[in-house]
Amino acid sequence: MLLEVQNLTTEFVTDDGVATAVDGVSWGVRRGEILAIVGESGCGKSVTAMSVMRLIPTPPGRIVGGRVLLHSEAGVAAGGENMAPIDLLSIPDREMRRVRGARVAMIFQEPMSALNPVMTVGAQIVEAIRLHRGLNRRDAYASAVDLLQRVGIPAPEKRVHDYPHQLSGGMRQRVMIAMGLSCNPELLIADEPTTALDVTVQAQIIELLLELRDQTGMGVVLITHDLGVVAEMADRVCVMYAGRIVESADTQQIFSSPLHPYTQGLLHSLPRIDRSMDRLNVIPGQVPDPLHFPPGCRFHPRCDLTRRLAADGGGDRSTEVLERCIRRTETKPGGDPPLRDVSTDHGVACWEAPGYESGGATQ
Amino acid sequence: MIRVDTSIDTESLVRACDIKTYFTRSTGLLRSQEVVKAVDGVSLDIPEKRTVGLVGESGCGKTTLGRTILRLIPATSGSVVFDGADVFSADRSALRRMRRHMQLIFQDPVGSLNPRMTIGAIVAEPIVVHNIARGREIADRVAVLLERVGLRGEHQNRYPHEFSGGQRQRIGIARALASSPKFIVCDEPVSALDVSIQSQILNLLSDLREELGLSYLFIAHDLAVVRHFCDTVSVMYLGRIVESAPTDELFANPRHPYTQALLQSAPVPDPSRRGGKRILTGEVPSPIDPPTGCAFHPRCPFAKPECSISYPDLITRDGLSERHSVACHLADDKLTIT
Repeated sequence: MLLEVQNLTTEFVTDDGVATAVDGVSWGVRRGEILAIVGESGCGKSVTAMSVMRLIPTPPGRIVGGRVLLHSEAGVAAGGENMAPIDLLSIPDREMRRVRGARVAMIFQEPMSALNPVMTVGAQIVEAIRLHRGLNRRDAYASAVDLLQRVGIPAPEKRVHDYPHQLSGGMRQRVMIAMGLSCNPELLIADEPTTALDVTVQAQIIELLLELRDQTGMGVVLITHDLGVVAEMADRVCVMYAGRIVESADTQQIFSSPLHPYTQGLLHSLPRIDRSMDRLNVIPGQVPDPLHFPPGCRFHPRCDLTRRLAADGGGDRSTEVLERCIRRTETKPGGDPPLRDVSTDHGVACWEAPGYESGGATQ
Repeated sequence: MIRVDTSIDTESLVRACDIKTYFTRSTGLLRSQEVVKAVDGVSLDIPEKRTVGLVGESGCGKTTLGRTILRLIPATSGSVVFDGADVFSADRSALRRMRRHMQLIFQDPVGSLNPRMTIGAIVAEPIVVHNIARGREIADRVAVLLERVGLRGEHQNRYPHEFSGGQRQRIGIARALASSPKFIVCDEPVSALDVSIQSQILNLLSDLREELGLSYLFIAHDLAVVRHFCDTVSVMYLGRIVESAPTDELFANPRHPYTQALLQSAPVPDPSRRGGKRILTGEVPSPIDPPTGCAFHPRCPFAKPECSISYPDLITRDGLSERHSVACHLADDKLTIT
């Protein structure tokens, strides 16, 4: 394992109360692996990424619990012994600044607002290289040109002197990726890296990220709402809903045999380019507001199963199921089902998923 | 959705002919004039009760074309006939009467609603402007419209910020329907919405189409959405239509290399179909200084010398149905990006 997130909980204090944007989330990513965290707006996927980087604005936000363990590569560590992992949430700020960029880097959705408009792209890359790798200016510049070349920017020795506004959207995203890679990070967190791009350019950036992963063996955490991008890139997937992970499995499993009604609903509601279909399936209702998550299973007001049973009204079986999904309080008052492994490496958080009752806690 | 048989011709409701929309801007110390050819000679037919899709990447002119057809942006040349009347030459009062029947739904459900107006007032505005109803009748009509798009009639006194993105898009749809239009330009109506909300809005638009006999010009960049929703599709690149065909035909047998590349680039939510794509290099060039000849030739894997000299006409080709036209010098060679 390269990075392990355990029980991460992040809150935001607002005028209307405390919103738990991320509520006890656990996942891990291995070296050379692409883990996708997928979900709709407000599900907590970006807050999860920002928490790992310790970039949550405080106040109003605060990380109230959990650990983020960054493991050293066995054998590479000094003396060849396996060094203990460091917890990114408990190390001092100074040490965190050394980790950020050097060992764990992040790229953002909007390259225009993430890049400094009054510095040339070269100067911005050089800044990171000199800070973390201690190179002199000339070597750092040579290294920046190298990086731009690696991310597929034509004429990099010229582009290195350009300002961000002189570049197209796709080129800016390539510059962002070059900056992210400048210190050979072990882990790259990519927050919606292709969302602002056109399809043909999106395909180029997906290809580039896959190539770079293969070359460097870095781990990648891909934050996205786009299930198409997930299917193209990810090795494993965590589906988030209302601050929790509701399902996690390898990519093949998620798409071929999704177990959570939310995952199933999402996949069925997508129009498809590869086939024509009649009416689209719909998940009724709206994504809940983090200030007012429903009690019980957070998905129950939109869930096909509970809605169907509630409509039937009556019968021992439906009363039992409804009781469980809406009111069951096993983990805490008003608690929702915890994520459990129902088969090897396939976790789901739904009382009614096959094998859930006998499933074990996820690793 | 029941797809209408597009082989039967119906009356065309909107007929746009050779539309050109140019913007000029002055740059530099000498204020030299630059011309941006946002739309450069586009003809489009929108039959009654049909949906025509317009796809392309950012900057291809699809939004400008939609707005030019509604005369929200003045055209440089060309003509639009709506329901038998010429749109560009209409005087103020004639245009106002026409506008009652042609409406617009915007991409951004936040920016397109006035935050200081209640949603009742927002939806009532077209009813008042076009003098469709008076007094108490207005509120009743608004309530019916809100219910029709899946909101509650009693929400009339609330403000846009009290609603989620999907609900705000429903408000925008109710406003567009308020004047009982025949034709609606939908400009990326679901691009800003979450996946689970997107399907709700698409189903709503599709129900309204059946129920009210609406015609849509559906502008989008998401090919999966277009395939699902439209009867015919036109693909735009740098201000011109490069290919146009009935939806199923376009997706089964794309003939323009750009259409082929677009279809290949779109990510498919099926990991077993990963990889093996031929990815287009480069990006859409600037419309200020478009390439000579076919604007796509610098990115085209098949480009021949003639492609950089003359622009290919958008015409039907041998072996294709008469409703399928392609603007490519090599369209008859049956080249395929694989």
